[in-house]
Amino acid sequence: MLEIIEGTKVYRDGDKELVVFRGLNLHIERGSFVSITGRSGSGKSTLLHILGCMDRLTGGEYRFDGHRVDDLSEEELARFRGRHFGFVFQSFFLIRELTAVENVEAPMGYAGVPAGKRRERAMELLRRVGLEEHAHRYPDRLSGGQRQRVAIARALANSPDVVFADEPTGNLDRENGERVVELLLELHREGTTLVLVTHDESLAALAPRRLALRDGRLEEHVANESIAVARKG
Amino acid sequence: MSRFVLCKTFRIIRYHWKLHLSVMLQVVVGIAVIYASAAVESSVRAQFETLRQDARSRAWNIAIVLEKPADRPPLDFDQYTLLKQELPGARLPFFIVQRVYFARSGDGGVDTAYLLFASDDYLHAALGVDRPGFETGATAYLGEDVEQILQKQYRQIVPDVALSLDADGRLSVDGRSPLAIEPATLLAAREAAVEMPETSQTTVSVPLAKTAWLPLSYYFEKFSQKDVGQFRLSVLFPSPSSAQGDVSSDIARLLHRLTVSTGEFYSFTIEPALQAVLLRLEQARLAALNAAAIAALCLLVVAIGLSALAHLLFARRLGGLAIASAVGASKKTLFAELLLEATLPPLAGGLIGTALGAACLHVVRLEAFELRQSPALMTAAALLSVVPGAVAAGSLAIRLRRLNPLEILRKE
Repeated sequence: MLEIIEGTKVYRDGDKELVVFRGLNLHIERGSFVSITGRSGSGKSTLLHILGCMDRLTGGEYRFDGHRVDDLSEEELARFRGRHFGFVFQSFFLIRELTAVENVEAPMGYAGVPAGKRRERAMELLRRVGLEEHAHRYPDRLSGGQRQRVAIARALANSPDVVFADEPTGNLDRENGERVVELLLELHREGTTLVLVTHDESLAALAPRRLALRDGRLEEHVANESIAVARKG
Repeated sequence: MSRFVLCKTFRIIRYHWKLHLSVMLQVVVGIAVIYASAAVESSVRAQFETLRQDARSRAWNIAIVLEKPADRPPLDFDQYTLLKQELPGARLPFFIVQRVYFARSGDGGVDTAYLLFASDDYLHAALGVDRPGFETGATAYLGEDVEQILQKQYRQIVPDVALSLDADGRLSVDGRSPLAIEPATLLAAREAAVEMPETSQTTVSVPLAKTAWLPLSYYFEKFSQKDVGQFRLSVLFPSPSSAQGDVSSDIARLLHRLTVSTGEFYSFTIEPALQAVLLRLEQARLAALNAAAIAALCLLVVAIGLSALAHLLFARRLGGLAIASAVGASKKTLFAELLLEATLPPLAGGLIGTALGAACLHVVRLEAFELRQSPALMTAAALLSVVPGAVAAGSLAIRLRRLNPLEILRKE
């Protein structure tokens, strides 16, 4: 489903060159749950942003369902992103001027979903993440965990093929973190492809497929089903 | 633009209502002052144009006063030529008239001949004739009566001007070089008459037959102090496009030139009525300038204030825009959001401000001139209010175009 072929990402600052990765190959199957770990600054978030079409490769190819997407224009890429991907960020990134329900509606609004249907779906998603009663609150009136759950609801707004989560529990206490993880696992069980970037090994261990980015190279670990099941239980 | 974008914009405006309200109030006050000043400026300018047309339709008669005995005329031909060069497009119908009285030999009655030392412009003004070069030529045009007087050699009574025909039938005046003679009927119809000043307040109509038309330069071959009172200088500014600058500045330049030329011997003034015209013209010009300056200053203040506020507002919005981009908003959509947010509150302020300005002008009555308000000016004032916001949104959109949303999100 998601495929990077001989991918290279290099940052240039004048004469200086910072190679994040070079000749990277990655294939993620539909419906899979993949975690990517790595030290701070290893480029795991950059890889997630490239997979989520928020950033571009400087070399190689990126394909979605066999079609190249790295040559799409900015406008096409924005539409593509809204239609196929959902994002959950460490810092939640809710639009502070919009209420919880309006934040959830936003991706649908940009995708052209009619207002009535938009509101109905947003409320349904908020109900699912347990925030129906807080639908009309602004983000600054919500706790960190509540904000992240709104962000998850927003990520699911357009029924995306893939949800990308970048350190989704990084800013949450243990209780809220576990609730968010539960929601993400539930998504995966329902068939949504989940790509999780984290430096938290225990969180990464929940994924059947674990990848680690070290020195610009991806290393694959054998999935530990027993750990994932234990956490789920 | 989708309904969603419009609704979202209203929600964002609602969220930042305090800032948007302050923007709106600033626009209301600014546009009210700008509109009122612009309307005043436009009305005064219209009045100024009317006054200017009026000034151009007048003959600007210049009074010449002998301050002390002079050995030179108030204006000689070279100075006259220089003046014409300095006032391109203006007409200076300069002429010097000498009345000569003759005693008829038969019945003892008196005949009058009018010697008109005329410029080309005077020929045009008095008879509607264009004879370029007449003023420097060597031809005189004699009316029938004058020619008869000279041929019959009537006795000249006053003044002491030696007027005679020589053996070749040429005209000589006071010992100046003789002029060839042509009939005045070549200039105008036999029954034509010329209006000329009798006193400083009255004019007299003189039949063409009693006139002798002599070149202006011919007069200056010999100057006599007693002729000073005969000088008549007036200026016409026939069309606005031909004369440079305003009548008032042209007149000021003319008077300055005359004063400089003749120094201590003469002074030059224009009639009180004409001075009043100049004063009104100057007052209108100053009023228009003041109103325009107020409008421009206010516009500058509003533009700077609005741009600063818009930038402050949008700096807060950068994160939200980056998030919107991440969840599928195209850059065109983001620009539309920015533009709407930047222009809707100022537009509302602009409409209210224009209405307020119009209402103030309706209440305030100015005696000096009639205030005129036009729908075009109202529309322009209202639309003006969106310009600073639109410019700020445009500049932010350019920044946004260059920035990767990720870069913004990383800073959030």
